[in-house]
Amino acid sequence: MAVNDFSRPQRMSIGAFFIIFAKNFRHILAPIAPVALYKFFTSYSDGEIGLGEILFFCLGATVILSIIASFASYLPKKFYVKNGNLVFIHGLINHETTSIPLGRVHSLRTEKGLWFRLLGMRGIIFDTIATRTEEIELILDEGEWQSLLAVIEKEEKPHSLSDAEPRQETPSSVVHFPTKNLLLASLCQNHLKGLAVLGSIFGVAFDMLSNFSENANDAVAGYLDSNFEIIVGSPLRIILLLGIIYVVILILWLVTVILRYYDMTMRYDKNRLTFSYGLLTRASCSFFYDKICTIEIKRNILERKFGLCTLMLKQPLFASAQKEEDNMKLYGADSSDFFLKWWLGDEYSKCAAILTARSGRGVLIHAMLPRLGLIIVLGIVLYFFQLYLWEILPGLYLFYSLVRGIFIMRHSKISLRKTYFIVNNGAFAETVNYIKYSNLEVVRIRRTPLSSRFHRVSLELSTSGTTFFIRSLPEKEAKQIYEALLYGAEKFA
Amino acid sequence: MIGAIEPVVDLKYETINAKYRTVQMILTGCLYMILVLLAFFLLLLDDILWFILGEAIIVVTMITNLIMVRKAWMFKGFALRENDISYRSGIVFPTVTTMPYNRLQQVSVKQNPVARFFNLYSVEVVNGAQAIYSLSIPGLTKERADQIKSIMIERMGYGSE
Repeated sequence: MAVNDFSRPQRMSIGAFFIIFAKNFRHILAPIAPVALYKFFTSYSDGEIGLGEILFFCLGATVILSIIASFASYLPKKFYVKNGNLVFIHGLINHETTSIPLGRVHSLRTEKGLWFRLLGMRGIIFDTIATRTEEIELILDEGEWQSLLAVIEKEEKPHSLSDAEPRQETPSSVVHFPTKNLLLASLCQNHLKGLAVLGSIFGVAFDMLSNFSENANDAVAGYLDSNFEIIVGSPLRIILLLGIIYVVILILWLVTVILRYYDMTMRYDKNRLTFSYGLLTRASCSFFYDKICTIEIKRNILERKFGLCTLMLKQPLFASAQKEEDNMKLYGADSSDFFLKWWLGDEYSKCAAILTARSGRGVLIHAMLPRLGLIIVLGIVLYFFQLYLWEILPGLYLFYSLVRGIFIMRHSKISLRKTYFIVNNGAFAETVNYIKYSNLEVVRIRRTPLSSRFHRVSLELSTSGTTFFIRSLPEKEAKQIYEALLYGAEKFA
Repeated sequence: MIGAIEPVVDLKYETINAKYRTVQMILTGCLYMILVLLAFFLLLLDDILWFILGEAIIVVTMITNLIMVRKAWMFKGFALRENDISYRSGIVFPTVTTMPYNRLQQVSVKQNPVARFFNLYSVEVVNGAQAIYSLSIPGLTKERADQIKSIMIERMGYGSE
């Protein structure tokens, strides 16, 4: 058998056309079938049209449309491999030639459904770490697949980004996170997160009640209505009721944290951190040294006072980790120094700031703007209904927004070190994000219509798992930082 | 072809082909023509004033938009440096976006039917970022698009096509 080296643009084999046809046939038949059935039941009773005729027209139309769609999909698709790049030509109306360096292919997914097996074909999908990109699928027979694999293995070059020296294998060590610290750190969090848990419990209970009896909801509503005065009769009772609700929320929050993070153990070596945790269900997750893109450390006022912190290890949000919740969150004693030393090196704390820029008042205005609209509307409505005393509510909310905005402004800054940079943000709790220059995917600088007057601009940075907006930075410093982020901060030292 | 390492904010940007401005104007014009035709449904209302008002608003918006298309084209530009590509765009919020070559995942050369009529291409690069994951440079000739694509693939460290 002649070995195909894929050096010239070529179409997929004819078997691929039949697979595409089968897929299109299924997709086109799905909307046509209900219309045909409707037509059959309405016309057959009138004696206008027979079953055979309907089937004939329905299948005929589906086959013709499928053939047209299949040709439109099959004919423009060509592919070849050249100098270590997979080149894929596709698109009938929007003509497109996409090149993917084979070294950038993160994984090869294969598909072998019924039609694939019948025709001896295999669907191959090329995945890169690009978060949102068009999926490239080739349908090849077994011989072509083996030849392509051989070409990929031959042409593939080592990833140019692995600039760091491979870290030496070392014996792994184990660290236990005490439950006492976990509980203490949980108590320092925003307990109102427990409201979500409480809401879901009430939701399930209400649903069960509705299923149990149709009259049950009316009975509960009637009881609350008749006893409303007794339950919330005086301000003291209202305070007591709110206190009880708060305690319930707090207990729910603690239970959730314990169930999820109880008995957390971390096994680590130079290349990997592996966590196992959970009370009823033990979960585990691994973080590879070179896959972490950001270490986020959050400390609110209470956490700072008790020497605690919430630490998050963030990795790229693709393939295995699609959700933000998949990133590891560690509540407990301030162990940030250990993780930062492991990731950034022992000397990380000795690196002096080379360039630093703080956000200005623009951040305060930006943080307040969305709330200001609500405050103004609420104020006007209350004034319109002559509820002057209640105007205190939008007033309080305005005060809260102002304080929050001031905190955001005070926290927002970027600081460049020799091998990494730090982005500070957060409102009432300060969040410190550590990022290596090598993890930076893109940098953007944005001016606003007010930039020419105030000389303030915004910076937007993105890694494969995190994005940061640093608003209202002094234009001169922002430009220097922009440059330093791309070409290293050392030349500015 | 590739600029020296001068500060990205002071770079001299290569302007987009003038034909691209025509393409954008045609597309904008077509969109507004559809709106002008749809506004004829306002004749179904009793008062013809609504129709006149609707058409007037559409025409004024179209003229403003066409002026902005021209201004936007004048500002758009790209620059290739040793290690990265920068793209400048935006009128109200002027923006410069820079992507290092070594973070790119894919490079595509695209052509839509209107651009095909003017023999124009666009180069789209995709990286692995969570946000700003792609950058598209429109209004390029075939030669320039292929040249940019080759440079990028070469700089990505995988040899030119």
